[in-house]
Amino acid sequence: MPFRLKLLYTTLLLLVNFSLCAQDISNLRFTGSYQNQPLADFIQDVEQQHPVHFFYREEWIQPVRITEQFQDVPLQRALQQVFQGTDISFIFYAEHDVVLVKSPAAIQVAIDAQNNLEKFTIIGDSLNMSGLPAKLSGYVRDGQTGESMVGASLFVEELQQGTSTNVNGFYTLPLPSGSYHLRINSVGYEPEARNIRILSDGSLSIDMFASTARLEEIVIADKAEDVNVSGPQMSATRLDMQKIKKMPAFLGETDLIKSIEMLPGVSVAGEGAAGYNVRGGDVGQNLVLLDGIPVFNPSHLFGFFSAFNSDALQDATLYKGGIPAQYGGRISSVLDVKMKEGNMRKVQGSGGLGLVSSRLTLEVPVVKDKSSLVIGGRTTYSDWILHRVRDIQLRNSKASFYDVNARFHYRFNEKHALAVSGYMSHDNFVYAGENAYAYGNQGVAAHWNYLITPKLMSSLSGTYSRFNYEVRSDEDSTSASRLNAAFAISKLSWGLTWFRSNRHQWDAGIDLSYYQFQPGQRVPLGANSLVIPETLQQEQSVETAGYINDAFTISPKLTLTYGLRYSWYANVGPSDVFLYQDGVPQRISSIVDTVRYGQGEKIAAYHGPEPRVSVKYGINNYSSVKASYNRMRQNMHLISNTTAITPTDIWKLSDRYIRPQIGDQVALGYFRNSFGNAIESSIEVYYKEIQNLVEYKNGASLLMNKTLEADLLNAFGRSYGVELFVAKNIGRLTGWLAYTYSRSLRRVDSKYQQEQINAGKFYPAGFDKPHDLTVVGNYQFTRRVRLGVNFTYSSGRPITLPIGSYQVGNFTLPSFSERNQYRIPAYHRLDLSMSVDGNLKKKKKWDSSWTFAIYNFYGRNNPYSVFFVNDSGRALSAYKLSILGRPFPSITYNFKF
Amino acid sequence: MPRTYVRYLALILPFVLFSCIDPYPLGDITGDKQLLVVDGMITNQGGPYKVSLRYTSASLKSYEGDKVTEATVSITDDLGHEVALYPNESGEYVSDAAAPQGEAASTYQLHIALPDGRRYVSQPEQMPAAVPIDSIYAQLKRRTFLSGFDQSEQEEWGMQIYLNTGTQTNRAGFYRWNWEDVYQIATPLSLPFGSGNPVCWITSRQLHYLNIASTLGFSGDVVNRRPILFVSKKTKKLVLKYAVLVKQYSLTRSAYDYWEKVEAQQENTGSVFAPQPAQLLGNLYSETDSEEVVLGYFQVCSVTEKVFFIERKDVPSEGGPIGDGDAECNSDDPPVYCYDCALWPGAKTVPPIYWK
Repeated sequence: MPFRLKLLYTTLLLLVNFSLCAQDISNLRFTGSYQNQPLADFIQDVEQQHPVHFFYREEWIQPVRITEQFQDVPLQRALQQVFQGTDISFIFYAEHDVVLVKSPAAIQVAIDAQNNLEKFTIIGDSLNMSGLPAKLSGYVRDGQTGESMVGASLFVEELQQGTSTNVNGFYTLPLPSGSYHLRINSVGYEPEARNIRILSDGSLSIDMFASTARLEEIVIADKAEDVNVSGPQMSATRLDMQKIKKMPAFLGETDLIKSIEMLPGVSVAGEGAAGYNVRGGDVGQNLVLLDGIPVFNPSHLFGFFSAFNSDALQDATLYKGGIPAQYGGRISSVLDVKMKEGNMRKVQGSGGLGLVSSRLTLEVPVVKDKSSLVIGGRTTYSDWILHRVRDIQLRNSKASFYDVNARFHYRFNEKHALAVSGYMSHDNFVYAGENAYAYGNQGVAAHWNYLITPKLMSSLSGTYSRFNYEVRSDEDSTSASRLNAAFAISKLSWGLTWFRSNRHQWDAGIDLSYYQFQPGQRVPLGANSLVIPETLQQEQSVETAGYINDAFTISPKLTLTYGLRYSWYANVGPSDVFLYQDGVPQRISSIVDTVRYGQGEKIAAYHGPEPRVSVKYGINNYSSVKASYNRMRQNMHLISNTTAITPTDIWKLSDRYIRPQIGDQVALGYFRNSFGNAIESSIEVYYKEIQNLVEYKNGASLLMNKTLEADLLNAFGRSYGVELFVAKNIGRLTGWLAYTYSRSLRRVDSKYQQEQINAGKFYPAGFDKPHDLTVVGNYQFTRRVRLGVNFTYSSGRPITLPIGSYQVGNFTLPSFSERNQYRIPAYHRLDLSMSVDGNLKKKKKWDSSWTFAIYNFYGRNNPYSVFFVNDSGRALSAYKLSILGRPFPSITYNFKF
Repeated sequence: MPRTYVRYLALILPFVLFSCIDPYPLGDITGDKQLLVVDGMITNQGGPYKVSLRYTSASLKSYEGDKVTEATVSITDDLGHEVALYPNESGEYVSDAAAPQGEAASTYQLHIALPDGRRYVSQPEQMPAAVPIDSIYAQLKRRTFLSGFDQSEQEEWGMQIYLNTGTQTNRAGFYRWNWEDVYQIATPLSLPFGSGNPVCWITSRQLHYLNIASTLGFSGDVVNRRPILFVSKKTKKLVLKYAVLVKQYSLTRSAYDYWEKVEAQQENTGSVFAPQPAQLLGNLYSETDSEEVVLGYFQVCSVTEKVFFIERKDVPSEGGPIGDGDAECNSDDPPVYCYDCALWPGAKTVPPIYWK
């Protein structure tokens, strides 16, 4: 009975892994009588009378013969009597199993004898075997900290099928009953493997251990993750913070947003510009979520550094297309950033000292294995930079910023978990001691996850996020004043995930949002100020969105994910709305009336479906084709008239005049892994159309503008491109190469000539850079030393150039071409970094590393913009401005304890 | 007013981290289409009124595009009066010197007709009331700047001249200022036969600097401590006696908006925080072709003037000596102008009429 034998061993060895179920086998009673009969007879009788299975090794029981009389005695007592005096003992396991165990010495012998045999974990109960696929589910956690691991992949070799853990570290894997080799992988962790025999639904939780430099044997694993090919999602990239930390960073500041900009399909307006553009979308069309908190401005110092503390983050996923139905509200991309869950087993800290800022993050287990608290902070001392600048006003300026992350996690039990996250960032800039700019994000989120059954999970969350800015002119004058604006979103979401079968996973949910925007408020400062206090009307809107989505595995090769999101939006009072004369362009002089709306009264309402479909067809084990279509709607609009966004840009809600932006995207991709998934590659093409983009009229002033709608124009956007991506994820050399060819075009057409841009023709958007190449590499020289390389090349961005000049008064002015008809020269840059880790002792209290980096290694003087100066003579001279046009070395000290 | 909030922002970024600015070769970018440029003004000071008509220059090297000849140009008001302008030899259209003064609250328009039938007109604009300058005053001030050689921080002392104005009513005012100054110099050395001019006057004027302000959004039309110019103690200007004539233009709101955009364009240093460049449109349009772009502005404004004097005794002693010490004249081989101030570049032997 080799089958039973195997079971015995695995049971013994892996008992710890089982979660015992409630029903008690010892309540069973037994009747029977034996006269010097083999033990096998007894076992047979018990198995006949009760749904009980015995596990043992044949040779052990062969010599045992029994003579006993049982009349309705508890099974447990019967067993005790039978085995009394033998070297066999028994263990009740699970609901229905009895495991017979020979004396320890015997076991050891048996193990040695059977060492070649594979050991299996038994999942479920043979009695519940139904012929239907069983469901394996559980959590994957960090074995050192107890944190849930998101996106860990599980792969069943025999079936060539897999899944990955969800945001809670939970996975569900439908399997026909049988024995399997299960592999579990996650970037930065030692791969784990489990041999399982699944009988019926059951759970298996897995601990994984971080692969630190010391542990990392540099071998090419035979199998790596293959989510690239087998996963249904396309146009998405998950970046692990460990990966990001290996990339060379400007002034040594690990920067999530700058790393995102290295991915195909993501471009940026200029060096140090805040925000990024995804597949031809505007900066304001990217949803940035930090533990579900929407972050309005993810940058510090006007865009030079990202507003996230790298130590407090776990990972980030950027969705450029095929966006899942639970995300909505922005039309171009979703960047879903997760904070660390925190160590639940011991106090841990990490931090760093850099040239620009210092950071410290602490992870504290509040209740061991149940609860943790993560608090991270970062602050700057960047004033020294300003004091080296060749501008007297800037030398007298001051810059400061800080950000704070906190997350509290409580796992009540396997079913309930609560997480509360908070985030705050703040920037302050005092220009020449006179004008002060301050801006910041504040947000909080609470998530409650409830695993109702292993197949049904509920997630309830509430978030609040606010962005505000303030501009003060403090000089003691009649015009001293302060301007404030604030934008807030409150949101309540409830979602259900139903792992219905091995073929269907359903997601459904509802989001309720309340927007409250205060676009501007001005107050006088100081006794001499003559500024009249003025407050623009507050805007408020409500939005409800419901979604349903099914991930349907039609066959092992074909997966269809289809869903629908539907959003209802209403802009509500109190508000006074101007009415403009029909048949002429909107302007202050064409206002004919004002309509007053009361509290909660509907001003304008919009609603519409947002279908999401994606399909994956697996050609074979190492290649697949995926296609997707999605439509997104957006009701909050970032209004900016500058090339790069500024912190004082304003957000505006859809209203009577400004309609929701609607983005439609189709994408098609071919995905292929080679060398046992060591090399991932993909090629994707996309086409995207955006309706109701918000453009501004030439020369429009956007701050404190009571009739902003009269300065805005409705634009149409079209973009398309092809993205090539090759990544190597394991081995000494890791990294990726990405090439994108894309075009991003805009059209502003109107029946009024004054409201057209470039006579109503398509023109390139300000960030349209057709060619874009990035190479990110990391080479592990020894266990302690590694080298990081970034190279980036892109076409120059479009600019508007003068095609002539003229004079008015004493001023020579450029006569400009149509918008964005020329380009500045191409941009390229190489960054290098070298990290040296501390000593290699496996157990030490203080773990440290040094990172040396050189940004712009060969000192390329990349043109940032071209401008024209009326020099002392009367001709116009063209100048190009370059920033960071020389190598910038930096040194950072990182530590962990 | 809101622009002041963002204008500094535009200045910040390019410099924050070690930027550098280099000449940029533009190559052969030229427009094939020349646009009409109008630059003219009517004021409350009477004629002659001048209007310049040119086409844009196809080059950045020279702003002087082709002159527009044989145009018919006139200014009309809302009462039906019309003043004709005639071309002069320098390509400008000029009215009679006796043309009537513009009157506050009257509305004026410029009309242009070309021989090929194209016609242009300016938006009617109402002349604002003239606002007198309340006072001009000066204070000793230290200012810092970066040396052009080694970027080190330098300081200099001088007289900062300010102005107060405004109607003190609750109607917003829109202003632009221009100055012209003059200072007296003496001949430091005398020739044995002594025939040099003992004193001379040197004038200078504000050139490429636009000084505008509005009181829109203020509780009253009050402008206090408006900086006009800084006169360094190191120059010769304050050695004997100095005078500045300040001209104050009361603008229409639309003209103010136009100048504000000109200012933005002048200040553009390439920051990505600067508004994207675009053709600056004024108050002129074509009556014959609505698609045609016309550049420039026809201003309708009131002008007032005030003179302010600084004598050597008014300058506080703090911040070093006045003047450059005439070092070149104390050398072994003094230049000729040390013997006759009239030989100083630009010097005149008679003062301007506002000199007292």
